[in-house]
Amino acid sequence: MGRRKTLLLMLVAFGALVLTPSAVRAQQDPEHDALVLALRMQQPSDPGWQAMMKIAILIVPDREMTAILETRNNGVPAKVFHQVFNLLTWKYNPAQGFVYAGRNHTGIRLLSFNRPDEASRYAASTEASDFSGPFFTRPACRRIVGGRHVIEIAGPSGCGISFSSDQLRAVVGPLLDVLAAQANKALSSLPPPAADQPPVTQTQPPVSTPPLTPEDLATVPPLGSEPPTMTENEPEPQGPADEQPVSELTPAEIAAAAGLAGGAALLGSLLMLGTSGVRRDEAIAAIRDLLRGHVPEDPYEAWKRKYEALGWKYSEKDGVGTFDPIDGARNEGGEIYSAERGGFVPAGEGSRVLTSARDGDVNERGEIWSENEGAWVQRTYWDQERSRAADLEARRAGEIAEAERISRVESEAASQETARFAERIAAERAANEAALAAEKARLNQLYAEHLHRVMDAEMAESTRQEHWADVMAVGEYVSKATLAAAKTGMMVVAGPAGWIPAMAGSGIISSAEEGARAWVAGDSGGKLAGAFAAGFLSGAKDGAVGRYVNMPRISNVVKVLLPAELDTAETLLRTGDPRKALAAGGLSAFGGWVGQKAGNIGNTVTREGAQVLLGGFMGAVGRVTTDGNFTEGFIDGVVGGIGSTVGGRIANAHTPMTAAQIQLDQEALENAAKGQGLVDDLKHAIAHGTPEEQKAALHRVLENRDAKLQLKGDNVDEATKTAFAALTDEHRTKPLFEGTAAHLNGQTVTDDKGVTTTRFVVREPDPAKPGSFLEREVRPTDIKSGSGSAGAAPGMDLDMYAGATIIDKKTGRPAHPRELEEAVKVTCDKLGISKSQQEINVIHPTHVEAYAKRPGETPKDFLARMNAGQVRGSEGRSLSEVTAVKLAEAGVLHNPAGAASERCRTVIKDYDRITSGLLEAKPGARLPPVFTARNAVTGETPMDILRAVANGRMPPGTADAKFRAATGMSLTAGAEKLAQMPEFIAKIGATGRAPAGPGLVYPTGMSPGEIATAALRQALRIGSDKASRSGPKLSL
Amino acid sequence: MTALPFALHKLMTRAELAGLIDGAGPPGPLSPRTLLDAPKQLGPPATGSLGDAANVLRDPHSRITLRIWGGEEASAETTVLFPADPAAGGGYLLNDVEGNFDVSGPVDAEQILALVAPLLPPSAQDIPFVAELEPTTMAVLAAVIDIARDDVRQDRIARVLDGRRMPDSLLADLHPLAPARLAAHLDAWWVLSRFDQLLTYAVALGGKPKPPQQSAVATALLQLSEARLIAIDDKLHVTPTSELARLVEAAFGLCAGFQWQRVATLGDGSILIVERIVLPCAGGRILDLSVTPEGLVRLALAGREEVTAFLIGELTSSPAAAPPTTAAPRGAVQARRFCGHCGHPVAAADRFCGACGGELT
Repeated sequence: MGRRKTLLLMLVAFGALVLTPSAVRAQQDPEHDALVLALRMQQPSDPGWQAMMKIAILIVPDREMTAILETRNNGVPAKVFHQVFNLLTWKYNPAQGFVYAGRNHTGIRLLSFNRPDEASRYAASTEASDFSGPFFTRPACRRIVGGRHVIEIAGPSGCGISFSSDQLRAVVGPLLDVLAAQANKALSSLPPPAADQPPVTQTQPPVSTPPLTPEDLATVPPLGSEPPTMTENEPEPQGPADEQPVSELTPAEIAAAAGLAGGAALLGSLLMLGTSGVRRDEAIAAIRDLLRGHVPEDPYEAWKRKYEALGWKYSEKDGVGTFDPIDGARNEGGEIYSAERGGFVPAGEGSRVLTSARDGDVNERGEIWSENEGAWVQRTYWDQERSRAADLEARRAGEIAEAERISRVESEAASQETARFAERIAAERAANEAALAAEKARLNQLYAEHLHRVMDAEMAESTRQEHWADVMAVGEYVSKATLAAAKTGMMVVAGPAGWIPAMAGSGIISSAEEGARAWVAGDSGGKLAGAFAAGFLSGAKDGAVGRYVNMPRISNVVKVLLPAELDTAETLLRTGDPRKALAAGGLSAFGGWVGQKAGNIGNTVTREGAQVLLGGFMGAVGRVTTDGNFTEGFIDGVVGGIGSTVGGRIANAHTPMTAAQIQLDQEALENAAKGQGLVDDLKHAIAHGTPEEQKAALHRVLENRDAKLQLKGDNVDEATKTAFAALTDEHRTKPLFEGTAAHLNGQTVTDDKGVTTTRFVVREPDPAKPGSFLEREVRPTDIKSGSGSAGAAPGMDLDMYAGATIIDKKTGRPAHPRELEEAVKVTCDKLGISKSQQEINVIHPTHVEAYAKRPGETPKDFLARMNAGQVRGSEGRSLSEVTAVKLAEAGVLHNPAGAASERCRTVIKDYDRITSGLLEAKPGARLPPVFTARNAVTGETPMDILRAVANGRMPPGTADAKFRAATGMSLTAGAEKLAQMPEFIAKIGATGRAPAGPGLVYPTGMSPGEIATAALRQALRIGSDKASRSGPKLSL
Repeated sequence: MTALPFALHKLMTRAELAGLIDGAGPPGPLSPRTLLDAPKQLGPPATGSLGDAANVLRDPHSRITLRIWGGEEASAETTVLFPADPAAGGGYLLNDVEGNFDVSGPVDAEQILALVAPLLPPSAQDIPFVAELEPTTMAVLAAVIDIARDDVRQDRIARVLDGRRMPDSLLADLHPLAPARLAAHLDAWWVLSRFDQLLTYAVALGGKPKPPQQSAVATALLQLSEARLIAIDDKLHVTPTSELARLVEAAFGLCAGFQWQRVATLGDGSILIVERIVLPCAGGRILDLSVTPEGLVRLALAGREEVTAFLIGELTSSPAAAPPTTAAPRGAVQARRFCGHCGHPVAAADRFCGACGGELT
């Protein structure tokens, strides 16, 4: 491909608007081999919406430079700067950058080729270029101009913008037409090639075109106006600026243009980075200068200044500037132009009269020497000439001053715009940070409120327990009970080992305390030492026993007898009475034994009461055996028991929650509130609304999980449920089935003979001719619903399937399921139904939800067979996969709280429908203990937690916390594990049992191949689970 | 009574703990590795939940230490290290077990709250009392309260035994307290700890390593007299005022308490330490001890709500903000700030450390 130079890339914003060009101007700059296009856009739908503006930038050879379009709605600039700024680090094509920033842009560029055939080939080619994507490779987006140039609309590919064919014709086509027409006009106005120039003009400077300025853009002729004629007699373009039509550009627009130009240059430099030789720092430096108002040396100005200095005369016609030599003008070789001779002559040979007179000298004829004319002229002429020169000088000075003023204004405005831009970026950054901080503060506040509720609940429990203590006249021991509660709580949270550091400390403290009391009492040295020893033993014993008896694999006998032995020793040391010591030991053993029995009591209140009373009894008897008071001992024992109960209950019954879990609960509350609102709306529409309002309310409900759940619950009256079912049938199921059938019937196929027929037909036995078949069109009744019959309350989803044999005439075989799927999808789109949110599925024999694995078997028969234990391993696997697919879908369809709830609902529903039957049918099979272990305090099992979420009785965040505390697994992991149960149960034999851990347990007799396959599947499943949880989404 | 199902529950030696942390990388300023007297261990990094724990122990963002004290029973201490703010969870317990270490977790903020919740009395009586004193003066005040409480108790027992009627006011008929007895009581504290003494906690928070000198006691008595908490005669005999009677009464039920300490790294590299001692007393009152940014010991009578708000604020606030620069209102968090380079205490408004000159901001 002979692409020679890329001349121009100009970005055009379509944004949310459909824009059409209202004015176009095209100019050629041969010196830079560039074509400059400028166009002004308008929004056809709003004629009053105008002042669209474009800035075009001159392009240097072999480099693309771009111009950013700024769209303005009645003078209010759009946010273009933001994207421009981000492009500093943008590595891909600029259109993607804009789309990435949330705006749809596309670009226009002109490609020049060496030969027309190359241009033609490119224009007709369908290959993707470096800039255009798949949507813009087609020839419809290209026009050949000037024989060897191609104008191309280049758009962002794969970034969410696409033009349909209709849109192409409506928008892109006319735009290209206008551009091509104007470009052709500009190209045809160019002077002939250098070879066609007269010989005498061999040193003639090339014809040039002044670059477009904002003023040029403001004076772009309106679309549809007559193009300027190309005759040589065409009068010069209009003169001074004050004689031009009033510019539409305000100073602010000009300022914005300057700023935009800087962004454009930046964009261009990035575009060509690595391919054009322009270094990034060079480009950025140029942009920086532009933004600061330091306009670099303009090649056109240099060219113009050069020939003005040589004395040539400048004129501009049709946007093409030319210099003509006049008498006395020099060429680059130093020759002087002679009009008389019609060419350049060596210096000194010109017709100019050589004289020593100076301007204003008077000769003998009264004539005055005119330096300007180089001749003696009449005084009147000389005066007029002087006056004219003075005027010109004054005007030039004024123009210079005005130009400087404008330059200053532009520079200042550009600087201000840049500063405003920086401020805006800083403000947005600050706003983002503030939003993040606010979100964090909100979450912390949410968590703090939760912690307050936790504290209040715990305080209520403490109050209840202390009230009990008051009733039993032990209120003065509140602090002691509190201490015991705290100790118990700490042991529960930190584990027995966490209490061990206290052992030595408590021994020392008790020792010191008892020793101090003995010292204060004036005891002897021996008794003092004994007191210290006894105190130490008592404290150390508690710590040691607490640690040891809670270690794994310590038998219950040891747990009972060890403390008893130590109590015996302590009592002996304290009292010196073996009888009392043995009594204390026996009491300890009895208490320990009874305590173990009490710990196994199922009823929470009974168990706690028994433990408290046991504590009181132990304390009382213990005190008696050590010469104490029974009542005092009983009170102490009760107090200790209460304290332990409080601490253990708080630490065990209450499950800590993380901030994320709190947020999940909050989200679930919001979901429920939103669902309730939609249900209320539906009720109101049923009672008072028009059919259209009822339809709208119905679809809002059908697309909301919580609303559907509430309509299936007990809190909604039967009349509403009946109306809901009827409306669903009328506004969703019926039109969906009819539309699906109509879509299938509308498809045609043409055979080899050119005969076109209906593509999909239903083939059924001909009752008149046994053994032969009839073909007919698809009827709505051929589409069946697997989610309940008409009039019944709709389910959470709608499972559709073909209830007749639909033949695809294209293949001569039963229609592929994807054809029905496509028909349903198209119908949903036409009806404005969200297929995914309403969970409309197309079921077919190979669908994962098609339970019937044996030919002709209905789902109902399959379930019956399965419940009888007659299910194969592959079928069990299929069942597990069905649930797994639903779990995965839940994560896609709902927010985190909705997904968590839906997973529980799905897995519990399938457990009740499938797994429980399998468990009953398979001898020896049972759920892993991880699902059935009962919390000793709350009495809940993990299955209870899953069920509570499924029924909406427990929010998912709380459930996740409880489930984690009980099983070590997240709620999601638990649901996934439960979903795998059918596969496990189907695969293990009659003597096997369900695996207790997360891994698979394979029964004896399973072939190595099957085991290997199952293990691989399990590994893949775990891997995919990990991958799915590795993202930033809130996961359970 | 069972332990919560921690994903990780591991007992390890000092060397093993050092190796675990070293395997995760160089330790941060709050890492317990800096306190382990063990040579650097080079080994592969831990994985799984132990790896998570190692990362937290290597460079924790905040640390909460909780000490629970009991009168006749015991005391216990546990430390939880968090990778970020406590509200984000993911903390790990680190308990010293006879020279070895128990690492358990992950632990959430709420579990810490559950530890101290039972210690707070369910009812609250808002009795405004706040005193901010030098540590020595606070120790003397605590000793006065302890002695007065003992005297009152003995007086009540004697009246019961003698069959005399109880006095109308709490401190009626109390003999003035001789300075020598006060000094002996202060000396005795450093010999024999008693956990039902307010002096124990006041000294623990004040950080004084030894009993005050006689002259310091005299100075403290004068200050307490000026504050009208006590009356002194020319022989420095002390009589508690009715203002102090409320503290004495509150201290009657004192037999347990807990100390809260949160240490966190700030954005500027300095260390924030928040300390508080909460002592539940009879009648729902709480003796509340903390340290002000100026280094004074603050003693207040607080209610449950106030302490609850403090604890929840501690667990949900982010320490990224600078600590308060002015004296905080009653019940507010009392923060102490330390240099991140040398650990020297610095004022909230300081930009450079007064000891090492390191930049704090």
